[in-house]
Amino acid sequence: MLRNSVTIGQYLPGESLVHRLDPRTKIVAVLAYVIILFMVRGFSGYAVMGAVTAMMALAGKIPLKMLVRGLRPVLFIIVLTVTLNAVMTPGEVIYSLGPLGITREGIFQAAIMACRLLLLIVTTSMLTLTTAPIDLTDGLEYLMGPFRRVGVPAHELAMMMTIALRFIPTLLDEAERIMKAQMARGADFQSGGFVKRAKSMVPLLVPLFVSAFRRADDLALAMEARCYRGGEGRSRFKILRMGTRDVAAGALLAAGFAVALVV
Amino acid sequence: MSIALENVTYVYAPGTPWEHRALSDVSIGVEDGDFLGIVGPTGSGKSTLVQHMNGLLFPSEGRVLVDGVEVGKDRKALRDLRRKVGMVFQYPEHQLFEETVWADIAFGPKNLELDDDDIADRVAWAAGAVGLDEEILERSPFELSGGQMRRVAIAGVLAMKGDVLILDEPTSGLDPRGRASLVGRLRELNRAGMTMIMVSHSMEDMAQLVNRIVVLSEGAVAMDGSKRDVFSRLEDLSSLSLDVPRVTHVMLAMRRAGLSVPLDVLTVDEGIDALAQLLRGKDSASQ
Repeated sequence: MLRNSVTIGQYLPGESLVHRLDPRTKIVAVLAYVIILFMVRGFSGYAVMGAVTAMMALAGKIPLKMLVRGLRPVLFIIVLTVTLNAVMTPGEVIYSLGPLGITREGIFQAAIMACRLLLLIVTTSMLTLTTAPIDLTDGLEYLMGPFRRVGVPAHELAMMMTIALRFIPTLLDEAERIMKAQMARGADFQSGGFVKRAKSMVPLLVPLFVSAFRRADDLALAMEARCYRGGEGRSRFKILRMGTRDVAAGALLAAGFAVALVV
Repeated sequence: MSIALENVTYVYAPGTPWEHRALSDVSIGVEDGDFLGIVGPTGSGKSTLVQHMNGLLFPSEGRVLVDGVEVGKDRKALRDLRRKVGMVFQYPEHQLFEETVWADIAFGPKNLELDDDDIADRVAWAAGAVGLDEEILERSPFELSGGQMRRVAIAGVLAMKGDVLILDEPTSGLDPRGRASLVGRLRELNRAGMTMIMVSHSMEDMAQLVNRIVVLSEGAVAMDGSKRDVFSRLEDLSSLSLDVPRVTHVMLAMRRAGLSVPLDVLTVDEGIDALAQLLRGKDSASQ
């Protein structure tokens, strides 16, 4: 099925330690992780960061298969980055391919980029894998709260993200249904050149857009019918609270990051 | 044209946390000219089952035979299969996309690479078969009523001129008149020789249209027999949260009240006959 081939933003329900952490802790942790990842120099630092990621995956009870599946769609970008870095970095040429030369510095640079990208993608995907979309946007809304004063519509942004995340699987299912219906009328989405293929998308995209707009209309009406009028004065059913867990996890991560920066 | 499913098992998303067994060991045969009804509670695998019949899904285990030939993944064979076995999905009006009704119905025939005269003939025939007025053909499908859009969508599948037509909930969401007229059109198509397979929650539609019913429950065949056989098992159907036609309920209540009426009454017309017979019997008794 189509929806199983898209893993971005996918949530893996569970009861692990990581699942039960406050979403704000997880968001800040991942943010910090990404920043540290770009500050780390040398392979020992990346090894420490890799160990941190492995620990998180273990604590979150995420099957290795899920993490690898998340990497598949970005594999192309990784390969491209590695190749470009290997060839384009000036330095001592150790292997030449016509006008192109692979340099010692290039290989080093490429390996660093590969480590960075892999860890970046695996770790960020872990955030959505262990956090229910609704918790994620709740956490984001809290974190963006202070910026409301300078005009950031925190609640509206969070609500938009909630809705977008909520409708990804719905629209994927819908796209699959329409594709099947048109295939049953002899449509062919796979063969032909670029122009023919682009044209063959029309019978899929028109109904998909029509239905997306219809859904948006219905949803807006349903929200207004329940007196939704934005974030002003809105109370919360679920209030986020940090616990000992969060402090412990934060301390452990901070220690890990410090080690990665020092080694 | 005959279709046979042999020990078909289908597993959604195998090897992931979402793995789900939608069909287990299903064997069903559909004969040429049949009108087969498929009923079952929500999530019992009805839609998954019918999608095996024109190669939109492939069995995880078991096989599907169409006219004795096993359905495989060969692209050309699949194209031929989908041409022969038409499929009308739930809410088919959601698949309309062209600027005019005519062009939308012509989408299928155009994909078959027919010449223009042939395409025009087929569009006219398909529009007539579902009872669309000629003046509608030049309008945009998006400005029609729900019932009209449904008919345009069905015409779009009919225009493929297959031997078999599969319909998933064709009458859901239609008003009573739209429903009655669609039921009539489907019956005519079947009488003209088209093999039909219909998934529906409406026992009334089943009673009026089909000759055989397969009942699915949790992905397995729970009952398979003539509609009279299946509708005579009210208790078994109730345990699957299914029902019999309302007229049959009336007859059951009358029987319980001590009146001698037949119980295999499925449609309103049959009910009228049964009541007439009952009243006539009373008249002759009192004279």
